Amino acid sequence: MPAPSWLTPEFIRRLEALQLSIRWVRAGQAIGGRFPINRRGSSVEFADYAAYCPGDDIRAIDWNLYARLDRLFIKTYKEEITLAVELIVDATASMGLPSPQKFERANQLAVSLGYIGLTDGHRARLSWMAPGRLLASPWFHQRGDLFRMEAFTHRPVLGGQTALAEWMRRTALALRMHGGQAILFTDGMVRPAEFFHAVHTLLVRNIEVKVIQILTPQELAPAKLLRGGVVVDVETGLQHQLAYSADELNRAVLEHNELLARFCKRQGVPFAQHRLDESLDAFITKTLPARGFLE
Amino acid sequence: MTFATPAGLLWLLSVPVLVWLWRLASTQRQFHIPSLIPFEHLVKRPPRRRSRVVVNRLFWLQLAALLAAALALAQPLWFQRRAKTVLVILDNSASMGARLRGSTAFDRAVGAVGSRLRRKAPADRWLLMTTSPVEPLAREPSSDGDALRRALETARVSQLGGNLSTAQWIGRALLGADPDQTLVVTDEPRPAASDPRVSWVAVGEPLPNVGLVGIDALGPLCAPAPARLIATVQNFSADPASVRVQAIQARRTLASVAVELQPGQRQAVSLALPDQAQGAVEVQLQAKRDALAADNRAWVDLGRRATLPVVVRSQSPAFLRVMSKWLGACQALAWSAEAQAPSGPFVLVTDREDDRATAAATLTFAVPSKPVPVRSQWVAATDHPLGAYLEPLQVVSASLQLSGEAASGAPVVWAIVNGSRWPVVTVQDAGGRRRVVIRLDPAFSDEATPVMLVFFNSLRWLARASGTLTTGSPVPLASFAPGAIAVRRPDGAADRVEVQAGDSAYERTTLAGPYRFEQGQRRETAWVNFFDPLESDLTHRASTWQPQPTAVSTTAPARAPHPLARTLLWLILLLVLAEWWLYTKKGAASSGLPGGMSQASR
Repeated sequence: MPAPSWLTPEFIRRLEALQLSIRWVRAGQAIGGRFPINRRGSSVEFADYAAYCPGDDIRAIDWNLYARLDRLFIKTYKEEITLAVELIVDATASMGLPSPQKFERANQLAVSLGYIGLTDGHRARLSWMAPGRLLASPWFHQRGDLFRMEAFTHRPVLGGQTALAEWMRRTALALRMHGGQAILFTDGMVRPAEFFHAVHTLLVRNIEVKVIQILTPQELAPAKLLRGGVVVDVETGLQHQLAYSADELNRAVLEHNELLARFCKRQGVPFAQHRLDESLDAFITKTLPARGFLE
Repeated sequence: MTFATPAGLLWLLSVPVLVWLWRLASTQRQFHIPSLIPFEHLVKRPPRRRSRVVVNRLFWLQLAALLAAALALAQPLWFQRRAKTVLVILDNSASMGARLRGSTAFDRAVGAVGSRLRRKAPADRWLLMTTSPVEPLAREPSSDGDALRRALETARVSQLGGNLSTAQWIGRALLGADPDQTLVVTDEPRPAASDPRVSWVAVGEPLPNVGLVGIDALGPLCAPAPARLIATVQNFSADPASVRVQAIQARRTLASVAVELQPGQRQAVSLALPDQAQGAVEVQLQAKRDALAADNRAWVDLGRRATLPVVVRSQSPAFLRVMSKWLGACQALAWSAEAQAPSGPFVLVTDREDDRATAAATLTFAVPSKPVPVRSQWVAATDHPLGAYLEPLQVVSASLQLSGEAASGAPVVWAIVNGSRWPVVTVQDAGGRRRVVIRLDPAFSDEATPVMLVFFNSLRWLARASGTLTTGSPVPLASFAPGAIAVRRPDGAADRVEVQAGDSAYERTTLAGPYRFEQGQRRETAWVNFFDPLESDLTHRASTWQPQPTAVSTTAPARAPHPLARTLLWLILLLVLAEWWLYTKKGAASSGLPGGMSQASR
């Protein structure tokens, strides 16, 4: 399997130096991983003392402490779990306009963050948000799965329109999403209500959600290109005669994006916007750590 | 600016068509965008204004091409100031070299022309003419300021007289038309009424001067006797002048005379020479407050004065008899009464008006048809060598030809008969040849002493014609074989002259002094003198300017039309090329689709 050109050894080394930022861990994680959490577990890493209750393992009683305090305490140890990292990439038609470049960058970001998760000992899975049959990769567990994971990104075909909230509900059920992290890669060309609903669908399933919006510079300042004529929505096919000022057009896009960002902030969901003319390396190593995605 | 065919401006109606097409394209153009969702609230409300014409650089190029095409069809004419033709007459005659202190008038003249050259319009064509000799400094009129300045730097003061009108005539002939402006830079006074198109720059000033105005070697014709040099000097100043005249040969002073000249006085100074004096003798004049150096030196060649033989040619036995009687008394003269001319130059004495043989000089007796001796009073011009030994006024009995026909040449002796004045002796000196006409019959006047004096004075003046050349007159080169002759000029410059078979001469005698000619083993020296009272008189300068009629209409338009259609066609071509390049570049960029939206035209 030939290595993709963007996955250079240098870039991979930089990814290995990073780790996913995890704010909380909910139930449902597989035990036996390498990520320690403050939960009574069986690892060797000391967590805390707890008062002895009948039924506790008497081997955990700290006799030295009993000698000094004349009370029974047991030592608890952190539990090491394996975190599930869901990488959800928007594969609707809007991601392929005008070229698959935007979609490619979304896949590259997903693979990069997935590899960071693998190096932390988590498991990662890719799924693509597209109409029709659910398209998802199997779980990846090892570092060596990097190129296999990257190869999976060439399978999905862009196109069509899908309702984000409904797709998220169906996918969460189908893939049995519960706990862990879900990172959503999208251009945000979705009604805000749909977006809120989809994020909420994940949150209620104890999943820590993170959102990365990928846009081209032209999408951020559409007035430079849209100076009259008819605009055609590539997903819905709707047409509209454009006769607005440049300020109106630019302000509309700005307000839409700010709406998504504000919602995420209110919900404690890390949100980052990635311009296509921005370097992938710089975005991962500088922007994402600053936005609470990575450590 | 105007238009030759204003109807072509109707093509401007195509501009609204272009705008309409672009507006149509603007409304029909489709943009595929990822989603309309960000613009939903805009879509819901009606647009605040109508769709406008969306233009880019292609539109402006097309508009410019249309406008240029409309202008080209209208054939615009742009009026530009017509380039002026300026004739510059630079006086470089001998008087321009005069100075007592400071710069010469010629230096000031060159400075004045140079400053005007720096200010001239780039398109103006100038022709620089000098007056002495009359010739252009550049071969043709030029608008190149640097070339004109270089040509101006080659101008030098000559030792010739100058004539501004002649320079103007020749300048107009070289230009082929009347110049738009004539610039005269001279030391001559400005004429009272002049053409407004003539700009006059006066650079001269009244200066004192004393100069030699003539020289003659009055050697003995008949018997050995001490030779004498007669130098005529004149005081052109407003004050009396003390003058010393010296004859110098090989740095040895042969004779020296001091005279006192009153203002304007002309006087002949006699310098006695040694018996053995031969060859070139230089006459020098020294005076205080003398502004012009060119007229202070003169040369005469004593060695050639007796070389010209005399030939008497006549059909009249009485004439031949009298001539043989007179000439026979002079043993020093070589004369003959032959019909055939000798091979070399000679002086011809004849009584036939039409006898214009190849003589170097001619003495013609105009014999009256009815020879009757009459008493008359002769008035002689003492400032001419012919009148050197004559009394200013004396009574003479001679058979004169008193006719009403105009005398050819300058009168030297007049006869007053019955209250009327008739020229008796006239002289001509042109082209290196001298001619004397004596209007009397020697056969009936052979006893009159003034008649014989006039005869021998004439012979002396004629025989030494080649010895006293003046600047501007050609040096006869008859003694050289056909071919090239190397010339060494008085200022040391080398020149070359080609001698043809027959009568040839060296004509570029612009400086006074010795001219040395060399052809193979043959070497000769000619002495050229500067005698020009008009140029020497720096106090009362005479004007040589004469108004000349204009040959062409002077109402030439100040501005000339220049059609712009060709320029506009080039502009259209460039615009079309730029449009094609831009369209190609735009097409290539669109095929790459680097942006976030795609465009398609419907």
